[in-house]
Amino acid sequence: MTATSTLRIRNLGKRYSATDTWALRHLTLDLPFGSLIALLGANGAGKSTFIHLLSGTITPSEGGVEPLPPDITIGWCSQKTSIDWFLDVYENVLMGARLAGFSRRESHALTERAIEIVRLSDKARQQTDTISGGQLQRVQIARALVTNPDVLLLDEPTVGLDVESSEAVLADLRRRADDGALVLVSSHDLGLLETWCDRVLLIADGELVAFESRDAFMARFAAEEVLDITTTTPEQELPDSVRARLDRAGIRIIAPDDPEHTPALCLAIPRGTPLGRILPLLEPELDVLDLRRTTPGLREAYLAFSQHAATR
Amino acid sequence: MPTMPFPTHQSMRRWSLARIIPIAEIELKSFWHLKSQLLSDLVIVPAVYLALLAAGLGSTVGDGDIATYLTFVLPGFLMMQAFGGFQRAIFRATIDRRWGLLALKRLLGAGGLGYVLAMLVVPIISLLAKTVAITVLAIALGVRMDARRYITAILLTCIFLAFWTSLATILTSLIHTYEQRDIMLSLLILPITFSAPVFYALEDVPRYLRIVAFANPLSYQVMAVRRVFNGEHPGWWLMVAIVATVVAMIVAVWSVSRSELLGAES
Repeated sequence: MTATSTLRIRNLGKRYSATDTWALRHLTLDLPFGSLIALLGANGAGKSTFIHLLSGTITPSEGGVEPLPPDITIGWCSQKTSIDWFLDVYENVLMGARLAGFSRRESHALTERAIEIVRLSDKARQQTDTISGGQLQRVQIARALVTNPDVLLLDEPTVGLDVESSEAVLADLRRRADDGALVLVSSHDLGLLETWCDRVLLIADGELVAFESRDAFMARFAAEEVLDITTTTPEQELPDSVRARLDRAGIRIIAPDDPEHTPALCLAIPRGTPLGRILPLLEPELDVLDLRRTTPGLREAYLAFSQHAATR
Repeated sequence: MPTMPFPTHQSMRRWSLARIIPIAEIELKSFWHLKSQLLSDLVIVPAVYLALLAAGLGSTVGDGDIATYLTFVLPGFLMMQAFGGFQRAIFRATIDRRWGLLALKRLLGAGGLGYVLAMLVVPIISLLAKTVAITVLAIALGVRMDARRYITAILLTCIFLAFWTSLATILTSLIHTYEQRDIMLSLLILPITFSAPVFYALEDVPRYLRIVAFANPLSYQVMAVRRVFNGEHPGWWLMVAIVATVVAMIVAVWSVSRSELLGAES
């Protein structure tokens, strides 16, 4: 793996002359090797353009990527189907290894391994026009992974994949990041990304909005957890003394998500607040029968960001 | 560990032959994918053209002397088969661009010249296979030839084939849909094929056809190959054809190397 620590991006921008619009502008950041970065943003935000610019498949209109050592290797998986329909599954993956310069023997070994990762071993000799869209997507992922590249740029790799395959692919990407690779994955499957990514890169309207650790991003945009408390006392009958104590502690009483199964009390508490600090605020007036703590994830954080951005 | 430049557009080597073998392998596999059509494409179609059309024409215009007419037609007919590589090259190069495979190949280090030459491999193999079938049939139909001049003529057709595969690579940079490809092919193939002096002598045709023929690169190639086959000095026919081939290859390499590989955001 490379000794280079970051991929330095400076003032990167792309203007599409056909529509006379800037798809991406003024991006300056350092992407660290050894991390799995979730690339987030709405449709048309500029995620694919960003990945294409990094891969070199489109040229920037301004700025660029500082040169890396020539031995840095790259794997790229486009959002668009990129398949040679005249080759079978195995040959499409093998193509990646052979084009990368591996010998025939090495390429075959790498291909078998990559096909195994994406769970396509039983389809290896099938023609590509006879397999499903999700399986085609796995072929492309396998081709990106086949050379064990230093940099992996994957644009919506899990679209059309079943849950097991998505998990297997992301787990493999996590392992590669842990081994020192720089992995950039754009996806709308935020639950999956939350499990496996360690950083979040958020683009909105072609501009960099956030680039920070996953936990910092979630703490910033989803700062509160939800505590569902089952008590013998309905919220309407909550004593004023309890309301006052909660208010002084900065804890809000909120409407429950699911009105059909209403707990007696639903609280929004600062992320990471120990329960030991909450319970004394409720007792002795309330008998706490049960507690359920819900920590908002990447999805909720992203939605909170979107609402925040929309109201600005 | 092989190396791949990153990002590719900063270090793409235009005149590099890098990855020529893997790309040629891909092309050979795609060729083999259509194995059920190979007998028809490589043997039956050229044989039918030569044995039925050319022989039939020969019996009409050659006072019944089919062998003499076929001897006249044969070198041009070989060049016509080489021109067949144009259609295949358009077909494959369009797939490469349409499906992002050219981007992938370049991204993984393919050089511009390597790509253009690799796209020539299958058309040459295909041409040589057709040539074997045509030669056997021509001899069976009474055509007599000088082996050394015939082999030289075949080598020339292989060189001129590079013009057509390069032109295909250039034209596909202008093609964005399969519909455009099909329109382009239908507009080009027949006029190019039949305005070249394959089945007739250039000096015997009407003036308008001669003018069209002079604008057709295939005419120069046919005339050069025919003159070599007949043991005559190929003169400026050969010079024009060679220069056109070199220019087409240079432009094709430039086209592959400079083009932005993906047009717009997905």
